[in-house]
Amino acid sequence: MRIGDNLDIKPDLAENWMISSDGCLYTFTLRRGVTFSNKRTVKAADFKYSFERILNPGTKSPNTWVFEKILGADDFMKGSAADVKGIKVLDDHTLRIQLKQPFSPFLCLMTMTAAYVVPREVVERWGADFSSHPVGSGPFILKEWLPNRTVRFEKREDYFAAPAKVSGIIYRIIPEDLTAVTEFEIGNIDVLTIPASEYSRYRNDAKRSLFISSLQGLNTYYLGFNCSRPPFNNPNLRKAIFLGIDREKILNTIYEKRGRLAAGPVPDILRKWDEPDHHAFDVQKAKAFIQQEGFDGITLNFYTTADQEIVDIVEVIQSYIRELGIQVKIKQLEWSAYKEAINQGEPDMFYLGWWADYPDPENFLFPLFHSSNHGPAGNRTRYTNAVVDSLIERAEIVLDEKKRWQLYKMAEDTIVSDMPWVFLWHKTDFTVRQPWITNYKIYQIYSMDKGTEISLW
Amino acid sequence: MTRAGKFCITVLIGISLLSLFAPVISGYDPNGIDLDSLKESPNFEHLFGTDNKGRDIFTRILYGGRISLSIAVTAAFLSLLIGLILGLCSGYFGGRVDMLIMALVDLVLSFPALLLAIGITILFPSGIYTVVIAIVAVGWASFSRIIRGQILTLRDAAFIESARSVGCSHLRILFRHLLPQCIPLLLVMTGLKVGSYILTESALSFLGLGVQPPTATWGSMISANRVYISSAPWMVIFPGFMISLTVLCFTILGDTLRDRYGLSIKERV
Amino acid sequence: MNTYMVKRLILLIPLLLGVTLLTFSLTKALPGDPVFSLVGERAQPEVIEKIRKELGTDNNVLSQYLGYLKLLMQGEFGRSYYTNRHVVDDIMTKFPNTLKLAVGAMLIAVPAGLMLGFVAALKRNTAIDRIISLCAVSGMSVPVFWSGLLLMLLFSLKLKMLPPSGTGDLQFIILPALTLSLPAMGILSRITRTTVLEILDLPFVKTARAKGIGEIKIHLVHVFRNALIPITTVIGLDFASYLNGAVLTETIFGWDGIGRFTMEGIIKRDYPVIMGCVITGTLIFILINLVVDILYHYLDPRVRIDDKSR
Repeated sequence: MRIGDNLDIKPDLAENWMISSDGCLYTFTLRRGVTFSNKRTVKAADFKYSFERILNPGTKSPNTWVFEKILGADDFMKGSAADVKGIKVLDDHTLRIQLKQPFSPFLCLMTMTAAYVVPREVVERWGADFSSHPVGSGPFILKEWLPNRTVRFEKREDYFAAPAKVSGIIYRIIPEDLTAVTEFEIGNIDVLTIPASEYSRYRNDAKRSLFISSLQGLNTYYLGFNCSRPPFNNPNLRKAIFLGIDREKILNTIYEKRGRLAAGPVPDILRKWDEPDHHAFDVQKAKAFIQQEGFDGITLNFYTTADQEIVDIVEVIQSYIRELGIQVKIKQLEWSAYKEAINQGEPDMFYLGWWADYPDPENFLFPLFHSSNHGPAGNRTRYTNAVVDSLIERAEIVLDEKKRWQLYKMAEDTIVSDMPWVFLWHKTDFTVRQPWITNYKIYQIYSMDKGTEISLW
Repeated sequence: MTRAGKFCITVLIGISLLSLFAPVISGYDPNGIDLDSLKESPNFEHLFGTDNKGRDIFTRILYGGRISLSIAVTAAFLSLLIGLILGLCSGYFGGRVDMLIMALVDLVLSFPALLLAIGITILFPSGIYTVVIAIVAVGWASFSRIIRGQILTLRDAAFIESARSVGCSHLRILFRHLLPQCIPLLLVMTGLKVGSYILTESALSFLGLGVQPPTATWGSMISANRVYISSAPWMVIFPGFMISLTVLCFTILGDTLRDRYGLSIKERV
Repeated sequence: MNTYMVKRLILLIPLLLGVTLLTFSLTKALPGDPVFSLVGERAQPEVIEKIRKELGTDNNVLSQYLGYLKLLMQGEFGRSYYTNRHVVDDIMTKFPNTLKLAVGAMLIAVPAGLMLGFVAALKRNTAIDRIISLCAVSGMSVPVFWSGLLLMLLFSLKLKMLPPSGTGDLQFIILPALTLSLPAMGILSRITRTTVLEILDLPFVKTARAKGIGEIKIHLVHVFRNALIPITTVIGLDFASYLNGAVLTETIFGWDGIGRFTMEGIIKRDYPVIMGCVITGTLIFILINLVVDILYHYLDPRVRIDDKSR
């Protein structure tokens, strides 16, 4: 499946699908004539192989969760079954998937890259090096991959949908902002993701600003509190800190308005219900809370990654909290060490962002706030609220959209009033392109970008 | 003392005093974020301008000097101490002791210094002490080797022979007779090393290791603001200049001392 | 001389073992568990256990070390925990880059440093001497990451003559090589100056002068030949440290070399990468030292090569 322009689910390799009335059985009819880049036709059995490959512990994939809802997945992963019962190949072009229980965003899961099809014979030939010699059904083939430097793709004429309009795409990874910008100015780069430090320059450039594209991302940035232990197991302290941070000012000054203030964890685009209540910046109230509860003078640790842009924001937040009478010690860690420290529940506070895997509010509620996901699965603040849990669980199996939105609204309102996070903002992506690029679009989820639209004149 | 030497000492004392009396000299809070004065170029209110969070750069340089200087000096002192003791023992006692210590020295010196320092910094919780430990762990080795070399040449000298024949204990010989001979060498080395340690410390903080934000050190100031080098170069120029000036003075000082004592040490100490 | 070489080569083995042991223990002392970076975060506990078994991190440390030594014998460094690529491959790709940079820096530093030092010695105590000496000391004192940034600012961003960063051929090499060469240039010119001065004062030069041999010939043949010894040492040591990756320069200029690779490995706790890079780097360092020592011997047989006097 793929995600359409309005964030709706559209057919991709699956031409048609049927969902049973109880919501557990999905039957997909595959398009005919789809080939891998090694010219072999894609069949339903290939999908079964691809999905099972992800679940297979030997593959060491971090994305097993995408398929865990399928019946028989657990047995397969444990090794007590030779295959996944719930994935059935009915014939060369029909695939049937049975879930353990209904899951309304299931089709969204099928848009993810983990659900892309791969040919067994090529995977088995290359083993762990498959990612250096990938074969798939997409519109491009991988020509060259220099890790941390470039990825080069070439177009495939025999792509099942309209082939790409360009002959190839090169992604360049340039960690230095200045270099990226200079390369763009010289003309070596066609599309540039605008680095934060250069944003105002491009905004104010009369010529270039005409070619800036921006899109509100499906993400949410937050200051997470460790809710599992003192002092942040106390919701009043969390609320006090929220009140003491002028999020809007930070967004408008340091962040240069490159985002929207967040009312809650769910991005506005996905929120199909009314916003939760707002609380305005109020230092006096915050200080009062803190005095009342006797928290002034305590020291907290605040973890951040080593990314300078983020460190800047963290330092600003630290100074706000200092105004409230609380000392904050910042600890900078490299990204993976950082994630791990958070997952283990080390810090009192941390700054993190969450980007959508797929465009459904479930992805912003279940992984982040359900008590079964404490730690690496997403709920890094170790927030536990039985009411929220049951609301989310009920919403998962409900098939009627309106009912789902109601349940989610109640969940979000509860979460906002509990304040396990300081909800900061939803970041906006900005890119600038050269004048000779046409048909360019920014996409909210990377899997939406097939690279087939963009062209040069 | 040459004119250059005197000039350097003056500058160094000046920098140290400025850093020491930072709160008196500047009324700004080095970590005082001011979202309304972002990235101001140098002006009357902010002598060196402000950084991207509105903090006064001049103040941060003063406070940063405290940290950079104290780390470098402490590390030099500790390296010296350890290197001295081990070098003395190695050179004087010879035999197994010497082999063992020199093997350790060779081992440490086989590693590229910065990488070893980086590795050690990560082992410990970040902060000033970790940086000192890392620098000392790498730095003691060359002190040892040089001291040992010196001791070896002195060991068989006449006055030591006579001391031994009179019945002086080893300890006495080491501290009373050999050590004083090494002092000029130590002074010169320390002078040169402090400069080199300032560079190492700034490299470590440039790489984001060691002292954590928001505490200012000269190296981290450069690193934090290096993306603005084109749009707001003052943020990077001033801290770098301070590092260069300080190291320059220490090095020239070391040179002057070396010439004064007539020593010739290999540059790559 | 041959016995000396053989002795040194034999000593290489315990030294390397010591290096591997030390690095290994340091990496094991690093806090953090690499398992999660491999399988990501929403993994099942059984999968995690399985990975641990595969990596061998559930064994005790000694068997892990022995397992690693076995790997080394096979000429392998294992696979990166992050990219899952063979560390050997990555090192082979990145090492030439650092080599290019090192050679580039040397090509600038050596001629410039020698020349400047020579001139300073000849014109000792004049204004030129003082200026050169000041420049030399400055070159040594300026932090590499700062000079690099300034050079980038001037030549790349303002004058737009050169690209600000990236790996590639000549135009990409110039700025980082120049940055890297400045401290070496400083040191070299100082050493050259000192050595040349020492030699100019030696009796045999005075003798040569008295005999009437032309000034230039004196300089070139006698002075230079003797000055080569300490200069070679410095060149060798500098080259060795460049090869081990000028971490700072590579970081600023986005140069895809071993130094940056090692540092990223250290920061990410990618043990196979760390071990591979450190062992490679140390081996090179030691080998270069050996070469320098041998050159020493060849250049001046009078120098008694004995560990103790070094």
